[in-house]
Amino acid sequence: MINRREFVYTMSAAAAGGTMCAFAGAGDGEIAAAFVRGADFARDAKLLAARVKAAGCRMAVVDVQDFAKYPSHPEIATGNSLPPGKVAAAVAAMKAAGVDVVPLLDFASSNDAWLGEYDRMVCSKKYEAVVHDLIRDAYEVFGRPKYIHIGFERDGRNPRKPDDGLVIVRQGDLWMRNFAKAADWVRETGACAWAWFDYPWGLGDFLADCPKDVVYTNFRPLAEAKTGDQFAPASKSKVADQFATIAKKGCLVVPLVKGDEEAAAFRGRIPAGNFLGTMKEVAL
Amino acid sequence: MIWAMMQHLGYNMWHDEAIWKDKKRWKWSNFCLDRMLTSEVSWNLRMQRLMEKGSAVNTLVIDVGEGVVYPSHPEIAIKGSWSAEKLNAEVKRLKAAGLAVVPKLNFSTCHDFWLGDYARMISSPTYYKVVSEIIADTLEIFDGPPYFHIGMDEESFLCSSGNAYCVYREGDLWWHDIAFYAKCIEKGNCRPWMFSNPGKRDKKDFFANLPKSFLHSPWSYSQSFENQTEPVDSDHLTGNIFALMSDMGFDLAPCGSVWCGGSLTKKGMSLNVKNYPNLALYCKRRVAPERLKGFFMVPWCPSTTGSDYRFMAACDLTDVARAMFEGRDSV
Repeated sequence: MINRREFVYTMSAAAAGGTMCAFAGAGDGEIAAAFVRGADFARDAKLLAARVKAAGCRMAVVDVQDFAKYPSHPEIATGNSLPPGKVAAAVAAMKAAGVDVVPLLDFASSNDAWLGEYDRMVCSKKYEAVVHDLIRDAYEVFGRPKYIHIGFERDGRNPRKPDDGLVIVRQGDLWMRNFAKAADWVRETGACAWAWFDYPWGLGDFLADCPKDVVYTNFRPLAEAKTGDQFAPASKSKVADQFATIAKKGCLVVPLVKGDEEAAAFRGRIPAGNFLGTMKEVAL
Repeated sequence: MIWAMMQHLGYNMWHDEAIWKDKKRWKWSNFCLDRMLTSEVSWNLRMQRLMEKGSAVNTLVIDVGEGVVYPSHPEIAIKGSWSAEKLNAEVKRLKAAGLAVVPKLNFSTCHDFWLGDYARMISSPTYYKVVSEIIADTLEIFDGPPYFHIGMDEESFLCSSGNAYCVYREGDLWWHDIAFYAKCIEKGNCRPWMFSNPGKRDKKDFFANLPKSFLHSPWSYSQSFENQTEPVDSDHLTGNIFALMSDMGFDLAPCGSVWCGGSLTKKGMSLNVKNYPNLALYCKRRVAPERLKGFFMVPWCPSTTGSDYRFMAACDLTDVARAMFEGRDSV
């Protein structure tokens, strides 16, 4: 049930002029791994910062989930959730080591077990109020970061079977409306929204309605794109094609890559002004 | 023997939001209403038909949905929803005329849009609280009914995939929630009743877990039940499911309809006149008498004057089916 394939995503410093980012966490999307990710971040903040820097990066995207006790919704916390002060201290330690921290609050309906009972209230009025509150909390607890990542991967037409038996799939206009609202709430704080780009209904519909000031990152590196995968483009070249297309239409992109070869594949095709850098995975 | 007829009071059971605002791109449209569709004229006409001397129908199943102002959750009501007092008075009137009156609240996630915002809180603590409270309200409004129908049909990805908000339960959660509804209902000394088609669910698992304490209505709108030996892998069942469930010891009220199965004309689907009489005859032959508790006719139409013809046809076909079942030559 719990897959704790621990990893760190880092953004390569080689991305010319790009922001350097890292993703720190554990698991491959399995919702039960959420707490471990947070505790590990807090416990190993200095080590994580060292690893991020060793990879030539200066930003870590932390999969917050329920490891933090959110001031507005303490009911989400588990027994091991850290109070905001301790989270802030870990963030400060990372910053002191030269690594900026970006909180990731994954609001994908397939990966939001960390929301507690609210993961069964997706799209309700109560749920929207909670999401809004949590985004504001994350902004303050993480020291007013430049970006807040809102996840939104694997939240599309083809449902992933959850362990708890409840399948919720947002589709079409409703998905985009929810996504745009979350991005609005991030913007409202003063930060910029960042999300996984994992839209299953085609680029035409995506580009017609998507907010262009959101940073988009592909959910899988090119090397892991699988033919027939419901949640990722079917071919490696299609990933790059999609990113080139959305960037040319004005979207900001940070491709997730494995190695310099993949980074080059993106870099050569995406307009410089929309290419904020690359993200890569580094094992802890 | 139950000869039941379903009548809608609420009607927000289908498609609260289409996937795309451009409806031409998708087969479903937004359907939920903010005011009641039920016409008093139509309602009274139908009740008059049911209370006629010689009518075969002896049980009325009212699909309540958002049609009443639940005392514990008035926020579920829409404009024109009946007050609890008004529905209670109508239940009393119908019971005095000799009808058993049974409430139906469809808790299938494919048909629960009448719950409003709570339909987007499935299986959450809030949902369980609300459901237990409105079931208690309903038991009281219906003066302690003998049965309580919980729907539960078509809860699957296949059936919900046309909704912008697609939600369904699987595995243990599905059975947990069915047990939860039953517990709430049985508090009122009332027997739960449900649609019992396995659909895409694993049939072995489905029938192993299906509670025998319920009255079950597997439904099929086939026009003929002969030469059907195996259940097909769809929500539409073939004939032998009734015999199968009877052999497994389930109490049955097989469900048929005038809807679906007729021929398509320029004016729409013609009435399916063969289903119900053939269903009754088939079950008379194949279902153990001690398991066959009755039949359930579902005309699937709003309570509007434009749909009265379908309800009346459903009444007429119940008359026919019952006469054939009882071996009478004429209605």
